[in-house]
Amino acid sequence: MAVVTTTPSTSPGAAAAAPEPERRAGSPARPVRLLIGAVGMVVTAWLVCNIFLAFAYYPQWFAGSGILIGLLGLIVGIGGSVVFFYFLNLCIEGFPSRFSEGLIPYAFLLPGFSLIAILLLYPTVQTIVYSFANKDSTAWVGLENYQAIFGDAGFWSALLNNLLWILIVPILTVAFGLAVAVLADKLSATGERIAKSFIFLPMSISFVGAATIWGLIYAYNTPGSPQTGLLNAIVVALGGEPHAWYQIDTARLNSLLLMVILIWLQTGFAMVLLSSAIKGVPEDTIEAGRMDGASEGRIFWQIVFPQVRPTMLAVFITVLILVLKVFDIIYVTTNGRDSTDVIANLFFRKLFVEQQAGQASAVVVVLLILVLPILVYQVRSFRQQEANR
Amino acid sequence: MIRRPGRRTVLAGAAATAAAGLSGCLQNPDPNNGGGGGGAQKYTEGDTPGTGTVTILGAFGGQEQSAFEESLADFQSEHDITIQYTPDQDFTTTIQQRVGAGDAPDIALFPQPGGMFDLAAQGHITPIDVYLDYDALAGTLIPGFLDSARLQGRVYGAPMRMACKSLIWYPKKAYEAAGYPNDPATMQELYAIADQIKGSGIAPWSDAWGADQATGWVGTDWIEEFMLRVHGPEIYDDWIYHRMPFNAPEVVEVFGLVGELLKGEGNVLGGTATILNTPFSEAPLPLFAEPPQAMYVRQGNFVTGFLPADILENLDEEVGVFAMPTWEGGFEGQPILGGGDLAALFTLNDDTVEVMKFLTSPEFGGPWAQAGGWLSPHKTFDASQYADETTRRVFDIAANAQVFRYDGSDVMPNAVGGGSFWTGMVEWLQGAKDAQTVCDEIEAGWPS
Amino acid sequence: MSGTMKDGRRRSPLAMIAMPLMVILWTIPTVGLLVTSFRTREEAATSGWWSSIFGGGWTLDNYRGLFENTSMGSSLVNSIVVAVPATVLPIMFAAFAAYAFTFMRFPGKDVLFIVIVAVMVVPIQVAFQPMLDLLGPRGLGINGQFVAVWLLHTGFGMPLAVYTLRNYMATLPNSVVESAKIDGASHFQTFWKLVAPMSSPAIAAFATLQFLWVWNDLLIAKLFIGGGANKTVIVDLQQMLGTQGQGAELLTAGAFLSMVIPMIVFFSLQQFLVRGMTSGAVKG
Repeated sequence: MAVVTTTPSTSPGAAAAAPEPERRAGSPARPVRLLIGAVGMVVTAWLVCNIFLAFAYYPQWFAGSGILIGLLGLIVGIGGSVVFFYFLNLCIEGFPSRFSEGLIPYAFLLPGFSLIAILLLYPTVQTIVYSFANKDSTAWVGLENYQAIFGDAGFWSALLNNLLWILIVPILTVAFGLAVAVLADKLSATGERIAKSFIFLPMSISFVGAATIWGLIYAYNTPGSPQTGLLNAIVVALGGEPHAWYQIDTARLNSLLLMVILIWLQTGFAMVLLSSAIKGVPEDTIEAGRMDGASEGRIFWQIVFPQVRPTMLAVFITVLILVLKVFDIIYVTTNGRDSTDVIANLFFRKLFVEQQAGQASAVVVVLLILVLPILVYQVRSFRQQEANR
Repeated sequence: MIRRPGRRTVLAGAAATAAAGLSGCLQNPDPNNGGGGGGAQKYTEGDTPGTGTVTILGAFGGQEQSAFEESLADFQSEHDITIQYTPDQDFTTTIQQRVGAGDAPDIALFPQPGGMFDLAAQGHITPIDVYLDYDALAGTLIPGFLDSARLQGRVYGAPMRMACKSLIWYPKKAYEAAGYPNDPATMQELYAIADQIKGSGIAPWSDAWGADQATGWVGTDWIEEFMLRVHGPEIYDDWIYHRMPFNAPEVVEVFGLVGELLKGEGNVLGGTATILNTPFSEAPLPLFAEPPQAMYVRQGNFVTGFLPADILENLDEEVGVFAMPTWEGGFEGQPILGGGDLAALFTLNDDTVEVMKFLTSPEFGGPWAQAGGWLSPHKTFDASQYADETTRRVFDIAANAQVFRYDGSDVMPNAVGGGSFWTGMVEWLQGAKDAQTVCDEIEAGWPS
Repeated sequence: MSGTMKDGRRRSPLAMIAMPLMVILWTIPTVGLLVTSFRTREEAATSGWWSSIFGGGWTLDNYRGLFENTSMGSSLVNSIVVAVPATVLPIMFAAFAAYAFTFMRFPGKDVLFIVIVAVMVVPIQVAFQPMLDLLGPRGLGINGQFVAVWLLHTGFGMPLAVYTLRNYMATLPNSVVESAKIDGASHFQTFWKLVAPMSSPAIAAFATLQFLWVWNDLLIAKLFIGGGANKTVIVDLQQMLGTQGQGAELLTAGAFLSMVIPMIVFFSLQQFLVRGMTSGAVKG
């Protein structure tokens, strides 16, 4: 492993560094600590980067084995960050204490924020920039991309679908989750555990897997031959004609059927969180209601519901964020045919099939603008929460 | 309230760490350098001895990989060359990346000519006339193969296997019992038989396009088959290489002809709804139902892989096949639409040339032919090596074709051939858009 | 039927009828997949899966075919290699950040945390084009390798990780940290010896979510690992769905197989998920 053996020795650096001037506050500066810390940080970061790059460039050093690379990745990643933070801490403690107290928080934030900056903030800016450039991002085209997508009926259809997804999926998910949570709460302990596990189960299924599963429900066969799709089998058994469900865009029925898949996946998530919120409602408030002779329904709506509302909102927002990015389900089922397209799938097609990077970026910018209200809401509710803390 | 310096410090710090982390790091080996000795223009045997090892990158794995390796076993021991084959399902992207990174394989097997042309244009691939006997090759290959691999006058790859699309399959027992002829000379004759079948109370055709996000590709084959038959190979080439617009009257006309067949009342089992909602692999199943629900499936030679197990066991007795016939009043000769893996050379030395010579010769592929699912692109291949009569029949059809053409959607840019052409076919078949609109839209979306 | 349960609560007939119905509704689709994965392609194409529950005709061929003729076996390993580091690495970085946000005072704290809250909402699609440039052959050239997706998932998971952990840590008694300070422990020691272990429910909660997300992810895996030798189970599955359809009968078996590991992870960590999420992130 050539990378490891070329580690620069620390001694020349130590000799070259000028000692920190002493400061009179708290503990004095400790230049040696500071230096060891600084050098250790750099060497650790350097080493970790190189080992990780070596995984990519020279997989043959690791016998081309994914398992070995994965294991080493874990060890180097965890070990590396522990060692890095250790040196970081050492380095900062080398500063005079008044100084170091102020620096430590930033040091602790540094690695996490670097990643966020590189992987989320920089690309966001870059994407906004690209949305004003041509299809391979080599020249400015002004607002052309926006004109192109706004002039495309497919874009508005996708946007409409996104709005439908936003309006329908989070509300139904929360509603189902709440219903299950409330009903399960009334079962015996064993019954509750079993019921919840089954409803929880789909949460661990991928969108691609879910699309396969629901393919077996929505499948269509020629009228007259046996139906392999459960839904059509039921329709035929009741005396109806089979339908090609994914193709029916009257009232966007096909989009609704795709939404069912996501609701099916996410109800378990909503249920778990809401269920624990319901259990957190103090028993005495409910008892008080019972004493007053209130019906179970009244107790739920007037006592329980207000107390779980914050949790409902949080679940709602979580599902909403998921819905905005919904892609996989549509990509592997209809790929946007028959007016089922959504923004994220449109973006994928623009970027990778049509190779229109400019228009694709413009589509994402629209998506960004769509999430802005949610972002503002999130920030505001966070502020309120902090104020109440 | 908000103390700006705090944020700036952190961001500056982040940038500094990132820079420190990256600057002292390993460099990607040879980021933009060409791969190997690609693009060499001269070759004399003995000038560049090989290393004894030849690396090959291809798209197929699993059983196909074992059959491929078995076909090379004797060759390797005879010539003392070790061949390392790497399969990659995402071949098209991987080959671009590896060549871009200077890590090209010695030989790559391209499933479509498009990607090969890109790399040839950048000078990474040695044209075959440098190291192979072009005339001998042209003499034994099915005509048209080398044309499909030609870029600006030079041929950059030679086929090592063939896929044959223009085939019409039928359930032999039921079909012959009903006394239908199995050698229609023209599509019009075939239509006449189809009308007879219709008269017997079942739909003549079964067709299925479903392929999830790739739904529609079966439809592009229909248009291509008809383009080739109605307008002939020259207009076909003009069309797929975009020397004429996609919405030219010839193309719209062909949409109309295909529409008459696919959308015609009672022609296709279950009509357009069934076509669009049935996975393409299930298209042949109604032919073998008891009693058959349809008589014809138009699909490539790979379709035998989708037949029911009991039919597969007696393939030769159960399944009949003939070439999709010519169009009366259209191109005279028998055309065949298909595809083939093109072997292209990146590293020129004695060993790699030896491997290329063998791969592209009629002698290659015996064990693979035995294993099934493989066709030699050479007319002179010893057909007795194929495992069954049906494969020999398909090979015969291909070997006797006057013209061979690559599947057009594989040649068109991906935005069309893997995008708007597919979706356009679906919209057109369901009647959401008419032929002219679909063709106009595909033309408008053709990358400049 | 009527009366009370062992714990004294009244039985609810509504719940006793509605819940089994919901459970059946929610489970039927998965059962369909499981049953179909044991049927031959022909049968699956010509009759509904429910008809074979009693009709028989079961086969293990699909599962055998999956391991013999496809790359599903190695894809499963790849998925683990992708998912485990991509789950653990963000926790390391996020925990330190969360500690700083919870137990330290510093200028800009509010603004920085609001950045975290804000980027949680940013769609990851923004990152694709720039990151393909940065990691692709024109940049670092690590696209297609595990390292690329570790990096991406670590970055994309960071906001949620910081947020979840910070909200949980905020519920820990401040006195613990104060007393450690008085004992002369450094922040590093306090974090490592006290706060990190006490935050384990939140860590487990985030780990569960992140593992499921990474394991089930299609987009990032498809774009940054691709369909080559390193491809994940989900990408493998998606390739089976599309293309030439050789072995379409293997799809259902593959889909079921791809669900097994996340289900195990999920059910073994489920209780932490509830504890970790509810005491922090979701409390209003």
